[in-house]
Amino acid sequence: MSDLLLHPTLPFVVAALLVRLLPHKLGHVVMVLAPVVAMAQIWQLEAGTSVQLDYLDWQLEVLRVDALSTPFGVVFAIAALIAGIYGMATQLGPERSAALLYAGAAFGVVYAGDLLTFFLFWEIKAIASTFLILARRTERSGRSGMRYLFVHIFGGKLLLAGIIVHVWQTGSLSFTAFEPGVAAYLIMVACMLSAAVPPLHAWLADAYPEATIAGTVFLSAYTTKAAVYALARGFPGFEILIYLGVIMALYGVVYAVLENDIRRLLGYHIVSQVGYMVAAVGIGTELAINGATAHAFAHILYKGLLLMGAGAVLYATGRAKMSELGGIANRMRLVLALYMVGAVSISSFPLFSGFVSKELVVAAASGEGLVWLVLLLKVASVGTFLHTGLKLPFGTWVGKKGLGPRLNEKGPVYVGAVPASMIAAMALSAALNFLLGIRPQLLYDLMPYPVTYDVYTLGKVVEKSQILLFTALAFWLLLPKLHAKAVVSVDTDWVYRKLPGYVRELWRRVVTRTTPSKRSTVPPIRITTEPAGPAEPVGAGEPEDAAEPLGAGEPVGPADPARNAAGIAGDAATAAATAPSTATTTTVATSEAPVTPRRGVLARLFSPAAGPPPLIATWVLGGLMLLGAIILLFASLTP
Amino acid sequence: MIRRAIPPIVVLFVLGTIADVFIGYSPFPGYGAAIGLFGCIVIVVVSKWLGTVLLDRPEDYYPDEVPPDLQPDLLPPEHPEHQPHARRGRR
Repeated sequence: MSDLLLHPTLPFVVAALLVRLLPHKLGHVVMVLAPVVAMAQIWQLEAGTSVQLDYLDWQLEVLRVDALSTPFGVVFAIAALIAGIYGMATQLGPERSAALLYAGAAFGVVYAGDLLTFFLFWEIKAIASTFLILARRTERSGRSGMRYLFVHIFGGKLLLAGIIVHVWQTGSLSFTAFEPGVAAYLIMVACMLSAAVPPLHAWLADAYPEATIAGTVFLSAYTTKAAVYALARGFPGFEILIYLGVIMALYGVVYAVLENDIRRLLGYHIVSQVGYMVAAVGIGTELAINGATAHAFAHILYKGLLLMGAGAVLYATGRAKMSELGGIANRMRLVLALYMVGAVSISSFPLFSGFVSKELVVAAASGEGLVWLVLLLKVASVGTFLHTGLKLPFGTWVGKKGLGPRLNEKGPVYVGAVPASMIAAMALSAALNFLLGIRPQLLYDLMPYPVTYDVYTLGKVVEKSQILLFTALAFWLLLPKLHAKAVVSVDTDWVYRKLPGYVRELWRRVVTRTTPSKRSTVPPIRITTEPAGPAEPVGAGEPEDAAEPLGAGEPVGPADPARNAAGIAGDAATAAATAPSTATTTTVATSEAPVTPRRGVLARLFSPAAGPPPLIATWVLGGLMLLGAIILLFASLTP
Repeated sequence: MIRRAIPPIVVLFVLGTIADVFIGYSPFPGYGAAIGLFGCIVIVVVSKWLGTVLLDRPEDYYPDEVPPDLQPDLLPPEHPEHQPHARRGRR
């Protein structure tokens, strides 16, 4: 029981409180101390340690240490240390609190021995991570963060449903490898959602670029990798994961070609890299599980480094779109050099961490005779080098403007100073990537199964060098095609970002058609003093409308407010149609939309265009739902 | 520029292919070079094609969320383009 005090979540929970209570400067110390203490605890915990607690009729195993959880624990602690140092310049108390709680919950997930503890930490992790996005406090991050929360809560409910079915069928809460069945598939889908397996991946590319600078670094370390851990624990050898993994690896690459925002591009590369891990879990042999674990370990280190580089650019210039950047290489040499260490690591250059981990996955695939898988994974690694190693650094630091001036007076983009704490965190991460590259045994000794694999044979190095050299050649030949375009690419988040609007529009049309009398009796009202145009209804009844710029220094779109306004004209017409006439009818100057009378409270609750519903209605509805839940709870408890 | 780069690339390709013959690790000599060159071309061409026919939309496709050119809330206060959180305390 005393081993429970060694649970690595504890220092993070304590630290999450301390950063709110202590002065900001002492918070720096807490951010460094918490991961160091956790690391010391992991050092103390021996494999096979297990802490059991009795809760109701169940026996929970809140701490289980074995060969699979330890490498994840170690790298989570390293990631918290690096990201904590990186965030010293930007993170305030609340954001730090969320980050520490998030990291602590991720430890809880990997050290959970039973499904209930696993589920609890899983949900805490999802909620705490949302605050890293909301901490940005812009309208965009607010929307994005709520979508992120919505998707993850949905995944959490799938997980809960799977756990309930599992307990009902087997009577056991212990978290071990599952047998195929309904429960296993429900839990697997929940883990896949969190691992960003298409088509359940869109939350990642949606939310990560909207988080705070250091928040993205934290986010990239835990959510997907904890899900990889869960897959490796529960579903080794599930063949479908091989196919999904390879689809992921290529899917991320395709979207990365089209992407303009540097943090979103790196987000799509998380999808691609996690694909290697998912495919390895699907293979399921000892070598493959080692490969998945090693790749997760290395991935946290180099992806953190890449996102720190992108964050440093964002901190120094305020820009994240490659179409806006370029010509800053001479003013950010150190950041560029450190970023390139991460880039060559993820591209699996020999002597860097990605090589020693990715080759394990490829070796596992070729060991099982999956020739097509080996080929496709190699093609995906070509795409990785192409984007993170060539396109992104070229577009961000060089671009069409060349290397740019050495001083700020001449440059089109002002480059501010990058704080020493950010550089230090990047340097630490780069050093670790290099260390693992030249001493792969350090990584292999941590793996769940003994590794007898020699990664540095002449054949592998020669082949990898050829691949990288000729990818660079092809990039050079294709350079005119690869300049970033200012576009967005639709992804599966279309389903919850665009489709509801279409459904609402369809609904409105159907309703209007069923009541044609209103349309004929109410003549269209027009203002004569203002020119009639599609942009008129803006501001009629929807103050939240983002057509208004987010601030003077935050221009919306490429200097084309008219086009933007036209884009929302459809929505605004809907708003004008459904909004209660809080504004007088003369200002609602529009087209054929009928002027509806003031609606009831219930109707306003379900019509977002009408503005927030009255507080009392929200409380009453919430109270009724709570009451229902309590009644259901009591009904379930009575024998 | 391209002409000057051709000789070293040819030399490296020949050296790599010869090395492949002697090491015998790759399925055929020049395997890595083929994957690198053609893999990259296929990825770029296929992705660009998919983008054109299916995926690319103007930046105001999600009208409420046009990606901003400048994100001033992330800049430090001493930066000339810095702006505090534009919407802080609105509600």
